[in-house]
Amino acid sequence: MNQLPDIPASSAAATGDGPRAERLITEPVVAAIAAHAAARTPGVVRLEPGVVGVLREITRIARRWAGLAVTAPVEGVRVRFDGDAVGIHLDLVVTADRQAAATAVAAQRAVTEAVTANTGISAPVVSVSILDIDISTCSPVAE
Amino acid sequence: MAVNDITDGYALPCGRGLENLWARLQAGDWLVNQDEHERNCPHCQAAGGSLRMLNEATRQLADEPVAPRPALTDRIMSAVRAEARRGEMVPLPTRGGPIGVSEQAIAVVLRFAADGVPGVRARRCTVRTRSVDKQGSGVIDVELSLALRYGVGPAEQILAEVRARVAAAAAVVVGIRVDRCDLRLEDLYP
Repeated sequence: MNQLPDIPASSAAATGDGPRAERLITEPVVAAIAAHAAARTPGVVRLEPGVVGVLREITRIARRWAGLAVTAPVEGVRVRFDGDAVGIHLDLVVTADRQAAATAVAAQRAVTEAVTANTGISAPVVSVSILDIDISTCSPVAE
Repeated sequence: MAVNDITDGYALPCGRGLENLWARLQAGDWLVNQDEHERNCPHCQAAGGSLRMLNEATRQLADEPVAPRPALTDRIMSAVRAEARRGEMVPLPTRGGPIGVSEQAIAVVLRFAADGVPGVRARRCTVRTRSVDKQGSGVIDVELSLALRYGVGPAEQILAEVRARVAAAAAVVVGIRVDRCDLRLEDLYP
């Protein structure tokens, strides 16, 4: 039995004379789309998985080595379905050559657009934590 | 083995070094030889617990016929650093879900900005959220300890420059405002 939480997409119910059907989107799918969109946002160095995320990634790699499954990376992204609402949280490392606040807003927007475009889920709530600012991307005044 | 001083690498909020902890854990020393600080410090215990989990996971991977990725150790250290930074967040303005930036991440930026003033070496920097403005952006208080090069010039003038750079870095790099910036001149260097 599939225990993954899932949510109907916006056009879930089939219409017309065709067979009744429902499209279901699972958390890992939304997380993978969000991770891809966030990582491509200018000013984002990487998504930061944290300890639990690294353990999950190690498991993912081990499963791939064992030939059990090939799944998309979702490090640094947490997705929660609550009824019809979808919450997405991003943990980011950003560059210092752009304003961190602006980078976070851009990542928020990119993830919202990507998730809506690819799944039909409308208006996900995207929250962002900036865990590090990479100062190697700017130079101090030489002494 | 007690560890009392950190000279490089990432320091936990209590001042102890993460890289040192990792090296001792891998050597099997940390579990049996913790000093009084480490036994009672929540930061050391949390970091030690996280590193133990990851150490165990990577050992299991190392036993596999395929070697783990070379960058794995770096990723583990980065993950544990991230856990340490996950604590206090300063809110940033947003029209969507909440956005926050780690106080420790801000402290690194501000210390770096102060280091850019000729004749100044920034040391410890702490950041605390004082309030939130009408736009939803955090307003912070900063405490920064410094050493000055001996003979570099009038301290008052140099400290004013440090304050200006700290405020500018907070606004330009992070997007927040500094309400109070306390500087502690604690040493001179030749």
